[in-house]
Amino acid sequence: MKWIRLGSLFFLASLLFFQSCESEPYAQGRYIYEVRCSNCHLPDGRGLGKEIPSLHKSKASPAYWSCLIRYGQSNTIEQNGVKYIRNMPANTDLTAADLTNLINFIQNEWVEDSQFVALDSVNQWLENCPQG
Amino acid sequence: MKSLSKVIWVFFFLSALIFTSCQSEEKKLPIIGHKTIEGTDTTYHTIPDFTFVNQDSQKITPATFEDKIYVVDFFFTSCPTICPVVKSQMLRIYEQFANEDRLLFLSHSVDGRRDSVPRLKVYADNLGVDAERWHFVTGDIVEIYDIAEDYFSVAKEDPEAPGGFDHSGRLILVDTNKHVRSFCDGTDTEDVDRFMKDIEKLLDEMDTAR
Repeated sequence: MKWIRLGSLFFLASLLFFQSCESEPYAQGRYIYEVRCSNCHLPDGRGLGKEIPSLHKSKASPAYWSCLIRYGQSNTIEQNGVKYIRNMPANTDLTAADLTNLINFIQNEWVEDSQFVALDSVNQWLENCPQG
Repeated sequence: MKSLSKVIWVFFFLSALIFTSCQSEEKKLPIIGHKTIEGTDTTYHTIPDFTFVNQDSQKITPATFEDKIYVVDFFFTSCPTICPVVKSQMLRIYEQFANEDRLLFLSHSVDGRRDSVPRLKVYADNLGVDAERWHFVTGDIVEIYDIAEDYFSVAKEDPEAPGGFDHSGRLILVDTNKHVRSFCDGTDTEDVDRFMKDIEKLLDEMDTAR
């Protein structure tokens, strides 16, 4: 009886654990997004018209994003045929791990057919940034 | 049996009372701000005269809003904090009342250096709004900071604030008599929902006044 009780408790606990992980993947990325990005790109990621680009269905590569988010860009950014004149601010305090989490969150949330991005890849891309 | 029918009657009477009292007529929007009373005359807080220029280089004065009600805010195009959220809520209002000619929008830029008329034009076009309905204005910066107070908003230069300007995310509703009738926090979706209902109330008031 004792083992059955313990076993079922463990089973329930692991269900809860996996449930929470499943329902909130990339929670760290979400947090970074909410604190650092949602002001401009808005909580739903849709940006503001042609002033601030939407992150939905972005065709930009995670390599491009790694450098863009880390170093910002002050000249015109072109996306999906629209030229955005505003600056993308730099976020040099975000670590490679932060960037990995953030990019995974954004892609998982808003970019279909995107693939999981690993920390090693982000580290490599950051070493080859044109801006860096 | 006798006491049961009595209970039913009492119940019926009470629920009728509650039901009708809940359907009482909705009150009109208040007139917000300080008022002075002299004898039988009441003077309400009124938006003073102003002269600004919009994204099409048109002169914008109180005459622009004659017989119209309008929504006001203060922003600047390079604002890194609340402005995109407030603008997206204003867009929501703009779209909700897309066919309502009596409702206009007036956004004041608090950044006299960077928000030139051409920049405001690009901004307005980027948001995809009609310049006849939504005016993005610049002008004498002191006049803009001063009039912000009349609209119960904050607008001033502040080197310590993100972007360099301190301003509120408030949306204000002004009626055809230049009186302030409602306001909300433009960053709060539910507050904006309530504000949109206030806009409807004010439009209804215009209907019944005819």
